[in-house]
Amino acid sequence: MDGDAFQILLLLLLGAWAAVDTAAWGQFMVGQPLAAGWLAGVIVGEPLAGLLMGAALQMLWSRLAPVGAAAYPDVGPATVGGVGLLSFWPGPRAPHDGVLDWPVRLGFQRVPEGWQLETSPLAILAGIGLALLAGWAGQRLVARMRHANADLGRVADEAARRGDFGGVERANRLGLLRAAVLGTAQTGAILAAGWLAAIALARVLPAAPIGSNPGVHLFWWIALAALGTSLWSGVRRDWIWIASGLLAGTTLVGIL
Amino acid sequence: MRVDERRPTLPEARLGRRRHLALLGRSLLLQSSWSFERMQAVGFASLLAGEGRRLTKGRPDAAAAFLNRQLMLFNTNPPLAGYLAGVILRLEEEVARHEAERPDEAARTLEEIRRFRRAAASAFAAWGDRFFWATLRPVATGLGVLLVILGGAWGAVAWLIVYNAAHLYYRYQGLSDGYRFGPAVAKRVAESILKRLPDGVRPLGLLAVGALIPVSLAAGKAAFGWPTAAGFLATGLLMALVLRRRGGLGWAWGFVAVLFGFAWAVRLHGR
Repeated sequence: MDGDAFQILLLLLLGAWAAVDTAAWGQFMVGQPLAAGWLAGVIVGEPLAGLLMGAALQMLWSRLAPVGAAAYPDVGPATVGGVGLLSFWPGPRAPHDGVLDWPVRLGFQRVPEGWQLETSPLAILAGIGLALLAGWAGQRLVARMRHANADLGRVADEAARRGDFGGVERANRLGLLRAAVLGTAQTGAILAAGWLAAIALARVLPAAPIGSNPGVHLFWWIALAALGTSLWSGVRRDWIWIASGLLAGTTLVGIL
Repeated sequence: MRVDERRPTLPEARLGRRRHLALLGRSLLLQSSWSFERMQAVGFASLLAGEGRRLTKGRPDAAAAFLNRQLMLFNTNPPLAGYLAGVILRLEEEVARHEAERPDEAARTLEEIRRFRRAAASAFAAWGDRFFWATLRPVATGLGVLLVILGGAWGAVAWLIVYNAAHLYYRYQGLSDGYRFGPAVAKRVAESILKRLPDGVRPLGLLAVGALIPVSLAAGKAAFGWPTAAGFLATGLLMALVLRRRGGLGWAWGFVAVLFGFAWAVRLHGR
């Protein structure tokens, strides 16, 4: 599937789910970048690239949370759209054969050494850049929707005056519908922007070989720093845990 | 938070399985119509609407009063909202039972609902946000990302399981405990493991971040050699200092990394 209609439909559905999962329904974390990136990667046939992009964005955005009225980047549709850009990027796709290939299709495999994927590293960088911009823009759209939701409170008040339980439930479900429609529209707009960006960037940028790009690694380290500082409290015990982790990680690298 | 000690503790009661599951399903919609004006109020009224129908059947005035009470400003941590819903449902049942014959008792319970709702919502929000958003999510992220490098999609699956195990436990248990213990549940939660969990779980996240450093370094070394990998490490440490001292989200720095990647490709492969 290379940017075909069915693939785009699946990405739109995933974007809507990711948008409502962020706050409006469930909060099962499907809308967080790690899960949304993986699922979008599976849809576009690049599960490992989706996972790496989602993991990096998850770490970067771990310092923020959709708590109360706090401003929070709309990470779900942004990640789905950013990973969706991979399907529009010109160039060869990772080959998969037959239904028995499902663990590979779903990404149940080790990330190759040096993270040298069969995906264009420039497409990954473009997808990450698009996700960052879309998350920032989506934050403003969600804030507007939440202002607009004040009318649902008034609809519920009217229903309450009549003692109409169904009216209150309908007002609440309408809010869910709004979040889903906004999420779908956002994902669609991000995918359209991704399609245009992929065409334009692929013309401007060199046809860099498949492999690694230091930009991807640099972004990863910035994201890792963001995750580390979100967990760091500054007490001496933190050093002991980090040092233990370093030892465990070094052992892991030695074993693998 | 202060718990009303004057009121005799309500006798323990249990939600039936069907009512429990219905409330659990409705609790997932708590934030559907979140607004800056009323926050979760419409969602909370919708959560209790099914039970409200039962309690005010054939009494339209009581139904209107019930709904108006639930539509007052409300905001708390969603996974812990079940505790509040359970308590308020229990007290609303007391109101419905006493309304006709003991109006004084019903009025006292209504006042208790009002006070509990106001005080407990913010206390539960603070406990829940600290545990779920500020601790469990970054910790699960550290473990999940490490597993992504080692096993691909297993990392995302593990991340979902780690977070949702705690999330679903508190969503489910909160409803039954709130209903079972009434307002006294706030004191029980304040003294429970939930308040100590963040300090207990956070080291796991630091352990994962520590392990991610050599794992990421090895990937950089395999792709570009030691000097460049050491440069990545230095950038990461510098960013940690910058983010720690000056705050910010790092997303602007991330964007700089993206531009650097493009520039590197153009320089190396030409155009």
